[in-house]
Amino acid sequence: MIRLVKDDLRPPATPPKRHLLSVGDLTRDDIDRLLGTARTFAAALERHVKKLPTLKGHLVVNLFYESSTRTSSSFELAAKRLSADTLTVKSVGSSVDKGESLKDTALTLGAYDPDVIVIRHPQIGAPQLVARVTDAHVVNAGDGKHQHPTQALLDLYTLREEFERLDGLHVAIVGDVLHSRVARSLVQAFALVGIRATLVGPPALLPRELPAETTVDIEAIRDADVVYVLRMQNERMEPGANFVPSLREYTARWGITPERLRPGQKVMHPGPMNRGVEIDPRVADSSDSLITAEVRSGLVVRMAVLYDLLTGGPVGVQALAAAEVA
Amino acid sequence: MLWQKELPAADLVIRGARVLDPVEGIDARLEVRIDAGTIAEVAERIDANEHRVVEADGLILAPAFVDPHVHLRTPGREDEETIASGTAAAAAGGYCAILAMPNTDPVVDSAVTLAALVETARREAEVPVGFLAAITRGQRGEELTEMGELADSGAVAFSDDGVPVASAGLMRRALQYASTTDRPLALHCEEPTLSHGGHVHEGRVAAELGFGGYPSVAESVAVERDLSLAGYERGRVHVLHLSAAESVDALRRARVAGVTASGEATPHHLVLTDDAVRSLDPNVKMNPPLRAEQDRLALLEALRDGTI
Repeated sequence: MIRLVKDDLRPPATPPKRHLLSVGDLTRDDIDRLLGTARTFAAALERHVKKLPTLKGHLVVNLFYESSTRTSSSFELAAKRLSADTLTVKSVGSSVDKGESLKDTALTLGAYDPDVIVIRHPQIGAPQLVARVTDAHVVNAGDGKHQHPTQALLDLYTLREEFERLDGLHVAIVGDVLHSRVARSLVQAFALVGIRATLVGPPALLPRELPAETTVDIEAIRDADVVYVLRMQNERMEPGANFVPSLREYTARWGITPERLRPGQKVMHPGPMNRGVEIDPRVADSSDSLITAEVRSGLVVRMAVLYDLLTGGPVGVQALAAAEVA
Repeated sequence: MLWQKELPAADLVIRGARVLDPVEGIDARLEVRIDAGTIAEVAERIDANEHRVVEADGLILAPAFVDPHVHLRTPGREDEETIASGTAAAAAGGYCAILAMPNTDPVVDSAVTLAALVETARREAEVPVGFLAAITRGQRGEELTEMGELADSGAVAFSDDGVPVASAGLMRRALQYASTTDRPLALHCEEPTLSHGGHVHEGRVAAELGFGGYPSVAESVAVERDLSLAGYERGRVHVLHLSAAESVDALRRARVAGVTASGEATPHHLVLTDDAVRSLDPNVKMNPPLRAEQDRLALLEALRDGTI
């Protein structure tokens, strides 16, 4: 009998627990629900006591194999604001230094029965592996150049707070698309909610055949409601790769300066910024910059993601009422 | 030249199988008699007499396969594969002969290393096995191996499989010299400066998933170069594991132009595309990578018309 090899390679049927591994896992309804939950949490955070008892008794493990400021701190704070226990493991200083494999580290942490494992890893598909070998809900906090779904969600949240809509917006994503998991996640997320995306950058940094509008012409940012600036990822570029002749030349041709922007045109950046390279400091610090708003969004959106995974539904009035009583 | 261990010649009658032989145009339920290891009769009904009877109901009986591109990892990585384990796998998979690549540790680049392999094959090999020797010493791409002595010691062809010969000048010398041994060069065609950092076919799947792209042109420019050189030097070449439509086109054109060239494709490149990479199963990551549907169709077409 001839076996269907293609079928063998398909991932297993819908896992019994829900994970957030890729924007591709989400529907428009999921996004609306998560952003709604995030907004409810944002309101809750304006109160004097900012801690909610919602996830009391749950354990959230943060497993970070790459450096991070925003993502790791906001996941940790999000879990703490929801009263979950947190455990943060960084590859540096852990048994990863001794050569422990991702699978064994995941099995070890899985033995503590965590409810959620948040993982960042330089290899594409690492969160899928953790999801296969543990019983925890897994959240992808960035895997190689592949996906960073909570970044896309927090950017949608930021856009909706700013424009009070998502449908019909036009966002120009500028810079190093090739190495950017943020750009890949955004392109998918924007398509789901009806945002037009235009990718702009030097030819070698625009991946071939990415299903999106792409151009090398920086003038294309003019028509956009928002210019989303990507970081030049020097750590992912080998010396001598010649993606661009020099950073100086890149800045001259694709750097986002006040002169290249329309008055009132909004600017976003996932951070960390290379000030003076992809983004002019005057732009980063201007009143049209949404960069700090993105960081604030990160906290409430990650609270919403943890809440959604562990309760499997929209944040209810009752849950919040219970929170107030506590 | 092929070697295997001494095995008793079997007297068998195989019954109940669906006999498939595309070359002879056979697809029927037939019985097959084997006398001392040689097929003696294929008929609807055969008396067993003294022969051992194999009941093969529900199974397919077909001519065995030959795999000219096998890695037996011996010497050096016997923890991964040995001549015994690799040839046992070949027998289990229906292969009656295999050829082993020389990218071992040490590389098969001297008659001494080759002789040791032949000796082991005579003791351990479950199916006939032949050996390729390297084109360059240590597969370093700097100096030619002593191809004459290697051919005399049983090397069936020369290959730096896994490590493409980067220098066009050295490839020319290899073609010139190999012609004196009447052995072909088996070429792993890859321009390393174009494939560097690439893991997945450069196309929509790599773009969406964020994998480093390994473009078709990284293979096809090397195929074009080596076929040009083979034509110029009237050398004999075999292009290993073709993956890209452009490479297949180049091979077809060269053959029409009279170059003595053959090519191969792996079963997985014939049945899978880079779409399989979306599973994130590391088993579908390989060199050369699985490519697009148009490449797969080009490989199938080349298999049909005899280019492969």
